[in-house]
Amino acid sequence: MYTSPKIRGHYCMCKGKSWELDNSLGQIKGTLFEPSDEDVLIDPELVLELKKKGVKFTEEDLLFVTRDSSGEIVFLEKGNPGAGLEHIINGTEDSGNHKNKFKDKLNLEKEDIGIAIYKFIKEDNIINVKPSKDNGKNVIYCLNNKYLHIVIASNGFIVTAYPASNDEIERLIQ
Amino acid sequence: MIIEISWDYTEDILWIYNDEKEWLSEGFPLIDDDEVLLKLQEEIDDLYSTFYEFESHGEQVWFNKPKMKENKQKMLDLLKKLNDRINELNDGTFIVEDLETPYWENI
Repeated sequence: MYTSPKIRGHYCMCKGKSWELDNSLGQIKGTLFEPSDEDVLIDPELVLELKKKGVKFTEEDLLFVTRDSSGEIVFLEKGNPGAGLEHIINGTEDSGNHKNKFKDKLNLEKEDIGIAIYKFIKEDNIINVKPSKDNGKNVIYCLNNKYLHIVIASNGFIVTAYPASNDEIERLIQ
Repeated sequence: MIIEISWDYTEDILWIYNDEKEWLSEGFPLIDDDEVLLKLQEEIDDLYSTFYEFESHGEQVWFNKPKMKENKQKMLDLLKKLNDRINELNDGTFIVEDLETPYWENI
């Protein structure tokens, strides 16, 4: 268990170590989704737990690792064109990308998308959960009246994320 | 209006934009409520999802390219049906940008 000063200290370390690895993908800035001093983007205990569970991940590419409301560990990696933050921002050659959708619906620049995903998870206002085909889940989170799909693989890896459509939310709320 | 055909894991395959390519998340009933399109999208999604392998070949997500090649024609057939149905429904209010068919033709 961490004390507050260590949390803040660790956050600073993580900011330097992980988010600034690649400024085009992980730069922290923005307003609504800016991390606070209490945010722990990479908790070493959770990293250790992932290792103990035998989850495959690339530690130096971790952008955040946290625990969701169900108690499961979820993590976002820098990823590749097929999955992870790079996929969310740039997409694959056949999938287009989501950064314009984040801009259109959440008013987020690509630099803010990673921390926004973290904030949605930590806010823990879940609108809907449905299973995905790999035994993972597709969760719709709400934060400040904004809605975001986050697709999480069964091992906790965030595959993709994209804003929920208005009609989808209306159907769910009805 | 622009209808983009592009697949991603667990997502819709049809994305609707205005002419400035701003995403219209409120949807488009002519497309969203068509039963034939919904069924085709489900078939494509089911097939496409089988190419994703998690924690495989040293990667978080590995695309099974050999399996994709095996299913190339099947996917192209589904995409043709999808395009044909969209064209049937098109009352002149939208154009189609298909990112998937060229991708699959080159697999």
